[in-house]
Amino acid sequence: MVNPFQAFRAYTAPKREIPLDRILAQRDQTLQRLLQSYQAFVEEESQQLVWVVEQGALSRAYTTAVEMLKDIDFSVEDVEDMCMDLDGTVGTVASLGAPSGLFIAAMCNQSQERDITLNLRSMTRRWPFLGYRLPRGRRLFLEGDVGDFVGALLEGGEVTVTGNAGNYAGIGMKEGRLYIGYSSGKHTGEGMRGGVLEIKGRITELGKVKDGTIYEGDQQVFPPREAPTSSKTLDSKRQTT
Amino acid sequence: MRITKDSHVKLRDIYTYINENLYYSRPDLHIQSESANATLLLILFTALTGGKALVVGEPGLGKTTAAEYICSLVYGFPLGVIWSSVVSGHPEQTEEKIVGRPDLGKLNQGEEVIIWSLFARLPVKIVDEINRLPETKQSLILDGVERGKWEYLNQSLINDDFCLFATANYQDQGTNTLVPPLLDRFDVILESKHPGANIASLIGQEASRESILRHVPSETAFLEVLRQGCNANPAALDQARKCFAKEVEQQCGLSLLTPSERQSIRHDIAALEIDLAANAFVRMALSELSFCCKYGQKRSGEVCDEGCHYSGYLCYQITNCASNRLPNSIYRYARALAWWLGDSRVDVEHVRLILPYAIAHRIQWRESYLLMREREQRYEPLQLHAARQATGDIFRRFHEQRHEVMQALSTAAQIMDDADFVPPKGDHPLYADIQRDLGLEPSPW
Repeated sequence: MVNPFQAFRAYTAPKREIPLDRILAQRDQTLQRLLQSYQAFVEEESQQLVWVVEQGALSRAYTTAVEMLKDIDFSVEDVEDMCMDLDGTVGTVASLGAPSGLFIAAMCNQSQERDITLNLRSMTRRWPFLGYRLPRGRRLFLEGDVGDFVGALLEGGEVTVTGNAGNYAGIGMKEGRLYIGYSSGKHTGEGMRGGVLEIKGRITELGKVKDGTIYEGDQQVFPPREAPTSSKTLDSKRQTT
Repeated sequence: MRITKDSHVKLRDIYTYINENLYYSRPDLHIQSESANATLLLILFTALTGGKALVVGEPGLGKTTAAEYICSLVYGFPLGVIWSSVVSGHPEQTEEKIVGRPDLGKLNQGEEVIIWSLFARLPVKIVDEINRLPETKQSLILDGVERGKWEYLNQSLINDDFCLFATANYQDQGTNTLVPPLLDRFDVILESKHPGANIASLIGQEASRESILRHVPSETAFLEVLRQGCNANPAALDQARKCFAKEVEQQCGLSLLTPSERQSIRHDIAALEIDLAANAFVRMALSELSFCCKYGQKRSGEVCDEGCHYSGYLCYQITNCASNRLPNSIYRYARALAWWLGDSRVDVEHVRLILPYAIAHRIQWRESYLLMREREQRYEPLQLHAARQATGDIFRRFHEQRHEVMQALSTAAQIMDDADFVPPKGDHPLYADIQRDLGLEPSPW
């Protein structure tokens, strides 16, 4: 029987590419590089047999993360994709609590955009240290609840959390503003040396605050406001002296 | 491919001359950077390629005259000769007037000799007002229209090279329906349109120009030679043609085609390649015009069910099946158009422009589809309008999935050559046709 398709035998359809394919491919490429960097970062950190949250370890881990991200050109969408990968919802990368949070914080601080929004509502993990050392001029919007140490060592940036925060919110923040839409946990504002920490809900327990301003609802709780002294009282004091 | 430049120029001159002097019309066909009047151009292609065209229109809008002018200049016959060969459709028409009659003088001497009519003998055949022929008499010309084979009293005459034009008025009291087998034999249907008030007002302002194509000495010479029947001297015929060609050259500045040039053009046109995309587009069109999911293929009178899976395709909107003459007509005219434009191969655009003219008279639509189309604004008769819209729909579907369809055809080619590939699947009827060709549909037997 004659082959009625013979004329088409050698035909090969050109690879169809729409602009979205190119964008997605680019994003995939960037995400792969970010994942590789994260993998290298985790390997570096895993050399520390016990990972302890203390200033030296944090600073070292953060510096390593920044170093790893140095040559990668990524956008806020890549940060969100990376979070989803770390969350385990789409990827298989191991999430390591504090180091992962520091890595995300480093990404937020190094990304091209100055305003970053991360939707954490769809994620199951609550990484600590989001907003760690966010520099002046940057704004980080965290939608949903966040973990411990949010806004730690804030360096002038603005962190907004629409949900609840864990313990040690705003720990050691130097300047900037941390706004929490609902409540915060224990040791809120621990070691805080400046800036403004606003908790719209309840503060479970205030930490040892050094400086800065903390609000609970509309009320300033640190430094505690003294009741205004009346002129009558002042006059009586003068008379006594 | 060999394009005879001179012939090309000659034909373009003929078209321009007729368009500017004899058949006033608006351009309604646009391709690449060119515009032309579709009716005139397709009549020219019909004459050139030996096709068959049905020209419809209101009385007096130049259906017959357009065909006569083109045939006169393409075949080199004076108008008087062409007029002598025209067959008029009327209820009393007989085989003797159309095809031939016995030579009564010789019959008296016991010899059975046929005097073939000029209509049967000339390569240019025009049937005027064909729809005035009763349906029973339309069968008289069925074979002649198809093959150029005319039979009378056990004798036959076969035209190797001929073109046929039939004109038809819109339905009135004196007209009959053209039977589907006759309709299907026409390659294209064309409408001779009114050129508009401004152009129409020019007609008659100047002295009649059709007399230019009348040349009595040549006509007499032609008719004299043709009267000699099949024993006519070819040299005398050629002499008469040259005489007319010379006259036309002097009067109109046109140089006519010689028979060998005409043959050469026909050969060149037939040799033009069809590119793969055009090939796939034609397949898509044919599958939509012939496929039926439920009954295997379209058949007249079998209307498929409401809610059929393929209700988004033309197969759901039609009630008959595309014949095997359809692809022939499409390729013939698409090739002619490509040749006219100087293109080296037939592409999708050529096919897309020709398709409505090739399917309009062949398709029988569902009543509901015609009702829907009838209400739309249009510039053509309903049948042509519906066919043009349908072509647009097929083209849109082709445009959306051309690479997938072509890849499917390629895969099918390789499966047929025993390659171990997954058979192509898709939603268009063409995919179902491919499955059938690959023997992947369970046989009902």
